[in-house]
Amino acid sequence: MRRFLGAAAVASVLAVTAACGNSSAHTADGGGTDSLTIAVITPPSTFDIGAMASSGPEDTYYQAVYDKLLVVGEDGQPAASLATEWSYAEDGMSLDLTLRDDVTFSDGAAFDASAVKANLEHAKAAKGEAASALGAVKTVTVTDATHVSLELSRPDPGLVSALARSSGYMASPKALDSKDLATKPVGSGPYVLDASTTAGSTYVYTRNEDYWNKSAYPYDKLTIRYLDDISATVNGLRSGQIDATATQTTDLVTAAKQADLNVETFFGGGLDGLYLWDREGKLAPALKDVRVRQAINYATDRDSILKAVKGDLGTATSQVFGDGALGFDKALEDAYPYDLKKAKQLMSEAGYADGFAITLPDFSPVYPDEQAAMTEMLGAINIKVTYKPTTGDQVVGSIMGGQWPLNYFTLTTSSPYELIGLTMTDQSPFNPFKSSDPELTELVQNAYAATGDDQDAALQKVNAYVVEQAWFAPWDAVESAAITSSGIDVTTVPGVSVPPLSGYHPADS
Amino acid sequence: MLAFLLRRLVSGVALVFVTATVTFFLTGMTGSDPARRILGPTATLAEVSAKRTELGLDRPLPQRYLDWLGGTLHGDLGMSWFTNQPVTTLVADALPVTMSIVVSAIVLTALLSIVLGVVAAVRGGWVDSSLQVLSVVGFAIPNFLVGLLLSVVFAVQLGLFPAIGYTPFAESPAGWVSSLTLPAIALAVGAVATVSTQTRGSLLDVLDRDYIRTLRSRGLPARSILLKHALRNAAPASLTVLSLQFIALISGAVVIEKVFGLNGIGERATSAAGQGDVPLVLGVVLLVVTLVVIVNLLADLLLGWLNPKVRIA
Repeated sequence: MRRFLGAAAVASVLAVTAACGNSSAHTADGGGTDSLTIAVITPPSTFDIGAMASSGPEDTYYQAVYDKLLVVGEDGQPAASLATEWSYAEDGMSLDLTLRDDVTFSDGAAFDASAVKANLEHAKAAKGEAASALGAVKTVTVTDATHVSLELSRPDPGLVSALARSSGYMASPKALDSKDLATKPVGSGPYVLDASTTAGSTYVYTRNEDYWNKSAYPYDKLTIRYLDDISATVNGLRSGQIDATATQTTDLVTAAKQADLNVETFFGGGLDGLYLWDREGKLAPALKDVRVRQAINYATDRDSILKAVKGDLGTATSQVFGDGALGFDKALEDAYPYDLKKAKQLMSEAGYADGFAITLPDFSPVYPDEQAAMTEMLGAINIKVTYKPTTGDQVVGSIMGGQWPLNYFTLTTSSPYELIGLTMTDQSPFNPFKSSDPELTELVQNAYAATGDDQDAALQKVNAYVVEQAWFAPWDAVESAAITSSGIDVTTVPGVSVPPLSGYHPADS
Repeated sequence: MLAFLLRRLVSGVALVFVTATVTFFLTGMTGSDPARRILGPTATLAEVSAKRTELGLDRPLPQRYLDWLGGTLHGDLGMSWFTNQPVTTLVADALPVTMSIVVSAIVLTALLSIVLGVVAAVRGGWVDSSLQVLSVVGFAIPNFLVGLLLSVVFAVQLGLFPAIGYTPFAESPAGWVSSLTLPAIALAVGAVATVSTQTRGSLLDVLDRDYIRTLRSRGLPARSILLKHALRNAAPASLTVLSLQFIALISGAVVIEKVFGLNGIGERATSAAGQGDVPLVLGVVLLVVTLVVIVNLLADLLLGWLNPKVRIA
């Protein structure tokens, strides 16, 4: 009898526990509009305007509470948001914005030109990634409540793209000077951060009932979970606890496909491959010779890398601007087809048939497959690599400090102008040896001066020249993947690594 | 007993101090650059340098240590460099998650180990052999694998439990139990294998002693001999292993938290260490070492209660 009672007690506990599990196991909303749960690979570092990360996975947290002056449209180009119209002056030295007049922040403050001025000045002072994209903004002048003019220190056609990303986020001017803003955002976005949020873990947002564009956000409640484990993410999606996630991790995409989840890939805005920094030949004299740089490009088997290393998550390319961006040229996509014979011939013509030796940062703890591929390709044209241990947080500083002749790298930018600004001028932080070429300088100046349809042509010339001079040996335009469970559809935009929050909607709508 | 307690307490405090100090200097000497990580790849060298100054990284390490120690003694563990949250808040938010799993796992371990150990020792024969084989299997299988299997079968396929996440007790006691069940089982499997084997061995030793034979010869009921005499004398060894397992389970929780998407102390530790978030790393180390000291102290007290000879040691 006692045994029977014991067994019955154990069975009861299990049944109750299982029943509890049923009640909470499927909290995400499938095809309804009650709630949406998104998994994000990192928690937000801050909600402080200007200090926020730029267009990475953290952007999902920001989009929920903040509006931007502009957004990235489905064609990858800036589109209206808080700013309804925008135009550069003829000389490109100022940008005029016309603003909505029906927006208020969640603390009741009105959105107007003064709020824009306060936010942009706050962002510039914050010195984060978002701030660096506002580098050309000299002063912000309030014309009237709905018009503002940004005076520039130099023409910056990429500024509108930056305002459609994290540089364009607007917080309540009343909250800007508060230290609390880092953890308690006060914006005009579609949701407000709920008190039930557990920082660094689960961020709960409830609908902003006064939002001006409510119909674009069908879900009443939004939960963003910080989840950095592939198995947990896939199990969460499969069990229905998570509705969606976005990733650039090949393993997660593979696991999601195997689990029959919806996977949509799109251009994520990054350029992946070898960045040939030492064009001046200071560390590796051979790299000064364009034939050596071209040889590295010809020795790069992009298709194999994409398949073996990237799991086909990307688009093999020889050019620097992505598909959909201004300056993209289809003809340059395969400018350097894999041709080892030609690569060796170029090395021989440059006087380096026996190759040379270089020292590079050791990325094997983080990118073992990429490093192995790079070593093999360089070895095929007798470039011998010695690796020096480098911690992840030292990488960028050491690149900017001119410590490496080249290395594997991924740079994500919001526009071709930003890529130019970061890598192609003698002031560029990612031009560590200050490589300068009068012809390229002129092409860049023309691109900055171009307006309207001329921009595309001018940028194509920059693209063609940089590819011909082999400033880089790109592997692929990085693709992101939007993974959703059944019942959720997502609309992605090219050039941004995560889908916009407004892109998520029930499958049957 | 009081002197015994005081000795343990003083050595515990000394351990916390030494561990925290060593950790501080080790993290300070890694040469990592959190300022670059915080500001991102597009920040200029001047901006990174300014950030380093803001974080106090340009000051000598001993000076930073004294500041940190002063703050810690006043209950201020500083701010996380990467999340802009007070370290005490981050640690306090994560502690219930980890402790819920670990305590559940240790309770599960204690109950199952006693039952399995006693059954194996008393029954012997094929029951004993089977339980020993199961122990070896339980010991050999990594707990993350057990966690994955449990998650796929009971959460994804059967939908009986949540696959990820933690429900606070205050929010829903039933949800709390549900969210802990699979992680606690996954964490407990290896510990059960170890502690039940220890219990079985100790019990067999005790059951072979002369005084047990004497008790049997005096006609005491077998159940009374087992529960009142043999088990009590076999308990200290098992308790020592159990307290060691508790400490091991805190480490094991790091992996289990990953598998079940739980943002506990383990997750905080790994992400903080990966980012170079020194204040948070130090906060986690301080907390974990304090936990270890408390657990050891409790185990010593219990052992002292069970065996007075221990108090003299």
